[in-house]
Amino acid sequence: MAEAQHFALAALKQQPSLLTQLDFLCSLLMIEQAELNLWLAETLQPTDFNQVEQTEIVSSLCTRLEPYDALTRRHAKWLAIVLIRCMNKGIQHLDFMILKPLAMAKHEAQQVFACRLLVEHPISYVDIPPELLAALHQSENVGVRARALLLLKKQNAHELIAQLDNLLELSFTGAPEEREVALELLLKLIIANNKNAAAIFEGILQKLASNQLGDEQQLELKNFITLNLQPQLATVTADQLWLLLNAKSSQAQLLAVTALNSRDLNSAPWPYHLKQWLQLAQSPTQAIRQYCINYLSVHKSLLLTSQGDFLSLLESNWPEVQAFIFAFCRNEMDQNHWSPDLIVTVCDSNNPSVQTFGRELLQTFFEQSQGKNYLIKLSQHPSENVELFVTNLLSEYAANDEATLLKLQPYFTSVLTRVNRGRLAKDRVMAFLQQQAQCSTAVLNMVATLFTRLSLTQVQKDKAVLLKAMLQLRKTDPNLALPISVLGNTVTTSSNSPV
Amino acid sequence: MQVNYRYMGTSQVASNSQHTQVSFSPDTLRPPTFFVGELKNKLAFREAMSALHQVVISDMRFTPKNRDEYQRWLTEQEQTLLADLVSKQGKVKQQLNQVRDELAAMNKVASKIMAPFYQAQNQYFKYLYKHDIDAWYVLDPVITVHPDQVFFECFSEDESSYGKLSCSYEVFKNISDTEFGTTNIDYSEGLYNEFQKIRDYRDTQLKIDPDGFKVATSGQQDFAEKKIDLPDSWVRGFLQVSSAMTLPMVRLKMQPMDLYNICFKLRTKKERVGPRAMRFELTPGQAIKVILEPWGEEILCPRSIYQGDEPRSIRVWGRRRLHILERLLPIASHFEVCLLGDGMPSFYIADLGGMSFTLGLSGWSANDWSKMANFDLLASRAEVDSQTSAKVYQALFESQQQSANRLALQLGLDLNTVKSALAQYSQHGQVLYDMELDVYRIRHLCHEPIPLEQLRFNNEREEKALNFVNTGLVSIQKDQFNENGRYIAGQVLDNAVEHQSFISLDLDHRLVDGQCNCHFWHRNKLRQGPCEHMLALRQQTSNGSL
Repeated sequence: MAEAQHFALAALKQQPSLLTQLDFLCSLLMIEQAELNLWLAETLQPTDFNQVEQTEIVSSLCTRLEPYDALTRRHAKWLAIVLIRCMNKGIQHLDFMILKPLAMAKHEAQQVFACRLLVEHPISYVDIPPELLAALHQSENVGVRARALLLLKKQNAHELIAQLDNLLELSFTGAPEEREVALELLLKLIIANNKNAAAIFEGILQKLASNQLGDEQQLELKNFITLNLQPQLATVTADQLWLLLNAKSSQAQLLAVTALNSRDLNSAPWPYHLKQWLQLAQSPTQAIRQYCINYLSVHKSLLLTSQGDFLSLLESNWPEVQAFIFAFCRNEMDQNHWSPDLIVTVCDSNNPSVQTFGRELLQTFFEQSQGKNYLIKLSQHPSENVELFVTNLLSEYAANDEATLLKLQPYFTSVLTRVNRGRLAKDRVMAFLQQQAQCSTAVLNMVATLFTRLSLTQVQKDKAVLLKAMLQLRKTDPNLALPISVLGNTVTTSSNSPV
Repeated sequence: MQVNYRYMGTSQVASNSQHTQVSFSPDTLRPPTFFVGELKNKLAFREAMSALHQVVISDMRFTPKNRDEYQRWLTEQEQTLLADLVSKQGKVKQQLNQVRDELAAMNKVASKIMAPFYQAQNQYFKYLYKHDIDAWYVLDPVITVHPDQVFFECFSEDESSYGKLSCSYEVFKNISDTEFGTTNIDYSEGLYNEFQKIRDYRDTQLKIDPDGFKVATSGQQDFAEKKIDLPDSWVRGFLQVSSAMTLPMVRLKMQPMDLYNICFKLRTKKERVGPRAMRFELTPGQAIKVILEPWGEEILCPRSIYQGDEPRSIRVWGRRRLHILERLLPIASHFEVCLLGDGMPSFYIADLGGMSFTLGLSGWSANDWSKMANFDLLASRAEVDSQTSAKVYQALFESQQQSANRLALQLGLDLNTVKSALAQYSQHGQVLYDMELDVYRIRHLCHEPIPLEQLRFNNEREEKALNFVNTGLVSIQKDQFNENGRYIAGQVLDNAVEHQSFISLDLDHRLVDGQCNCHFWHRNKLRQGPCEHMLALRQQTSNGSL
């Protein structure tokens, strides 16, 4: 078979004049055979036939193709492309009623062919019968639907704008061919009118921010905006930008970065609250975080007047943000900014480096008058390190102060109940409590209760200290309820039996 | 088992110098459940939530080491070893030494340069292991709002620890916006860090956020939808521990320092050989003794007197999970310890004054087949017809929580019938027995029904084993204790064929050897675990405890 085809093609090449026979040409065009099709595509030229001949060829093909079940989509597409290139005048003068049955055909291949010709045909959109449009738009073939969309190009911008929502939807959710055509049509609308551009920009923005799109669609839309909606991006409102900045879509965030950088940082172009800037500083997109750092570096007053709301960034997982805030705190804030509450807020962190910084602040900006305040507040920190730190404040700010000592009872219990840890803090607290037990009756009772609880310990070192301490307490108040009683001295004789 | 959640937003703790707001985001796929109130005893709440967090993250399973560094070293050494072999030839040796010296110097420089990278890589490996989303196959913690309390429940990743924090309404003030029910809450590691900032001097509001239910439609970007494929073993473990709560127990009252002493001993010692049990020696009217094996360390609890009538000796395993309770030691007034029997689940209830924390531990920390674990905990206890069961459930549903006695009176039913019906619902995760208050509570563990029949057994062999035991087809020929453990031999009649089997258990009750003449054993030996005949022998000799 292949040999025969090869022989026939060779013969045809020797007699190209055969192509001038229109019937013969039509028959050749209907054959789906790669070598032949390639030769025909290379050989046929638009100038080979006049307009009448072209029209006859196109009409004849349309008539032949209608009942032709063996037409494949691939060949239909090829045929349409060849006719559009070489027989365009014929298409321009083709009677629409010849094309209509092909477009309404049940076979997708016929529809593919007819659709492509229809796009080139001069018939206006409104003259296309609705049932034909419906058949094309509802085709199962994506290519047909995409071509059907292209028919919308026949409309002017005023007519096309009514389809805006559909076009937007198709640009998000359609198949790749449909999306491509939808974006082409949207571009037509953008070129026609600025108002259209704004509406399209808003529509795409909302969709990008919704995180319902796949990566491919996101990239397409982002590129579309970058290429065709630059003015809108440059004049994006703060609300629109916020939407992009917080979108889960990485492409949306990249667009946001472009918009952010389009305006002068120094002029405070974005009227966001500090809370919003702090949120942006935690963005997963590095460029956004960096912009935020740059912005806050210029507009320091936002941080300085914030009552320390930004201190949460000290615990940021992003090293550059954390480094920025640490540097800001060290370099830009002085004793006028560091109130005791703020210092305690820093010390409250669970992050060791932040806690260390907190202690640094405490040592730098410590006020004697606030000592008790610091003691009470820091004593509630669950960390072993902070508990140890607090032991340094006990003798100066809790000694002989019944109210403070009683408030610290949870702290003492926590320190002394750490299992196999915090030895230094335990020793200090034990020593302190033994000293302070005499402060008042209430403190004495508190210490006695605590020691009673702890006396069950099997840690020999602690047990020994507790026993001694309880004995001391018993001496202070013989009626104190303690789980200890002093037995009389036992004297042993030389035979080692008690007397 | 597929579980779906939909949360609006994420749970958060927001703090400033004056206020703290703890806001849990509930699952909006479940019926609305919410609660808003201000905490009175904030520090105790913080410590209790921290202990609950320890349960959530508790994972005593084997952690693989990052072998990348070793592999790199080995690759380097391969060249060296090969060169050594070649260098046996005299001439080459000199050259080799020179090259080796140069290489050593270069490696030293390379190590210095690459050290931060390898360190970061190692940290990332550990981070991935810990935070690998695929590893988080756990149900998000469950919150139930009832007319008398709010309680949180969770189950650990390694399927061995259950945590429940109950907060009665007396620990709250300014309660508003309540809707009874059960929901899952969005939980994350970051929340734990924020909990640590709760302080007594800040007003603290606890919110199970009602706002999520006010938004009608999903698909909005504020909703986060999660689909999790829960392993059957995890669900089974949870239900087994829950089911165990309804069984009769030995109850002990212990002081916080008794638990302290146990934890202290465990922190200062490391066992290298078994047995690894913790043995409670209970003599009526005498101080409780806890013996830590294998060292024989005795912890006497002089202020904790056993009030039972009969002397008992009960061994429990997986004792290191008790470290979870350490944060509660300063705030607990006492602990109630509830034991079922050797190798059975055990419960530790901390009284926190207005709140209580229940730690439930499965029989062992690793639920592998060598423990021949408690698959009969999901066994049906007694026959109760479905109509009666439904009646009991409905009565309980109306009040959300009720004691079995009250229900029996209300419905005119026998108390045992009511208890059996409720135990069935408990096995299905729909009812929870509150061990502290001796009431049953409506609590739907999952929004979707739990397919108990699918989950009840780990494998077909367990089901067969139970059938053998229940139908009296197992006869024990030898059951001997020796210094190495226990030897059990017997016969199981399976499809009219007698199978002779034996099993050897070590002192930790682990299966270390076994043999059978069945096809499964001949084919797999013990590689796939014991056959149904060995399991039947074990079950027959367990007498309700393993």
